[in-house]
Amino acid sequence: MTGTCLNLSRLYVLSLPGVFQTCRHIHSQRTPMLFRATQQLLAEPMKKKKRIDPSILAAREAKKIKKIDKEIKKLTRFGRILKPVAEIELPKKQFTLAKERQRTSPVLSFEELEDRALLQKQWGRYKTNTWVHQQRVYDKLITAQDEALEELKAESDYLYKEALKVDYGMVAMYFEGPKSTPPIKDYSPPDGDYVDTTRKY
Amino acid sequence: MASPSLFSSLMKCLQGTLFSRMRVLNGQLSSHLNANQVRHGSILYSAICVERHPVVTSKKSRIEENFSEVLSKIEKENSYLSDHEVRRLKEQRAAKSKQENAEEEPSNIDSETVTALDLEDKWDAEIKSFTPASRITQADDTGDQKSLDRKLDSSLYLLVKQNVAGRDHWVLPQATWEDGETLRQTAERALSSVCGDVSANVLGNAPCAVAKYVPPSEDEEQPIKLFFYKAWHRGGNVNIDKGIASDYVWVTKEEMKDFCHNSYNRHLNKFIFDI
Repeated sequence: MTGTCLNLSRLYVLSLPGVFQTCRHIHSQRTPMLFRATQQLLAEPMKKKKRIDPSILAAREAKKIKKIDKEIKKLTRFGRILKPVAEIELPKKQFTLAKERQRTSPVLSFEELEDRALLQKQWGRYKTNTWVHQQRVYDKLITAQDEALEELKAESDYLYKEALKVDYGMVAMYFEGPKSTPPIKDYSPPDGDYVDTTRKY
Repeated sequence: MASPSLFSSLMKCLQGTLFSRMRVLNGQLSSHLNANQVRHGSILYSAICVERHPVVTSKKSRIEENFSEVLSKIEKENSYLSDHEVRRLKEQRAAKSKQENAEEEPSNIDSETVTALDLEDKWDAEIKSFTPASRITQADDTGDQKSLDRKLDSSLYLLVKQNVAGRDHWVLPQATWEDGETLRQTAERALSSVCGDVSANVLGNAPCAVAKYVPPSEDEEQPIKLFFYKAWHRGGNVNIDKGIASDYVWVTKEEMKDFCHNSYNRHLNKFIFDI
């Protein structure tokens, strides 16, 4: 019966449960390369399982759980706290003690306030005048340069074009501003104490 | 009261600036249209104006002095007490209460702690032991005009005594333009050939002013155009080439009048300003 079945149809054979399960057809060709999943008869016999004391196992488990618990505790305590940025944070001390730090400034007299207001107005005028003066200077400078460029253009187009080119050497230009006292020649600054103020978190 | 005139002057300034910029831009555009032709009608010169910037701040004017005083007063009034001041106050209070207690029961504990006042004394002593360099230098006292150490609070300009048209004149270092170089390169060459190893940053490729000299008689002589370039002094001492120039000075704008010829000075006034 089985023989006829085989001859009749492979599909039919495959559909039989249990009996021909060792042979699998995964190909659509007529003579497929079949692979057989035989039983593993050459394997080494299984080793006998060692019996461990259940109390030791329980202890191990407890240890693991304890370790994880500890980690969780630590994270919940510190995990959300970010490293403070000293530049952004307001000095707490100064705010809690603001009252103590209040300066007892003298009450200004009317004359004093008036003087200050007048001086402020005077200052505003002074600054405006300097600004106007500066603008006039810039104007004169530009006029002088324009005149020079016009004269140059009349002489030579090549030189004129060269003069109009952007000077990229200016990009790296630096200037050290005036200071209140001149530098002392060959001055060696005294060594200070090294104090490490870096905070550890 | 003075506002209408002030306003109009402001507007004039702005207008002037805008128009001149526009002119430069227009010039830039039209230059591309022109053919690359060179026509030299006159002899070209480049001069370089080397400026040493002020080393120290200029003296405050009366109003600046007054205003900065008031500003610092206001700032102090609005401020909070510093840590040091709080500490000093606390110590003062503690000392007072100690004095009152001492009258009742004298204690012999003389603490050796450093108080805020002690610290202040220490700081005062420290600052007194340091003497900054004087704003008025030796060169100012002796009137040495070749030194760069003079007149630290104002700009200094380099003048050389150069042979111009057969006569010695006090001028900015100058050189004739030669074929193949730009005017800026001529200016840089002028500085290096006349003054040796003075390093300076030339400010831009464009000349900042021009001086025209038309010969009086209609001879073969060509007119002269002298283009000025500005530069910042960066270091190095003047080492004058005796073949080209005989002398040099570092002078302020006011002192230039005493050295330069009037007609030359007029041209310098077009682009040298002490703001």
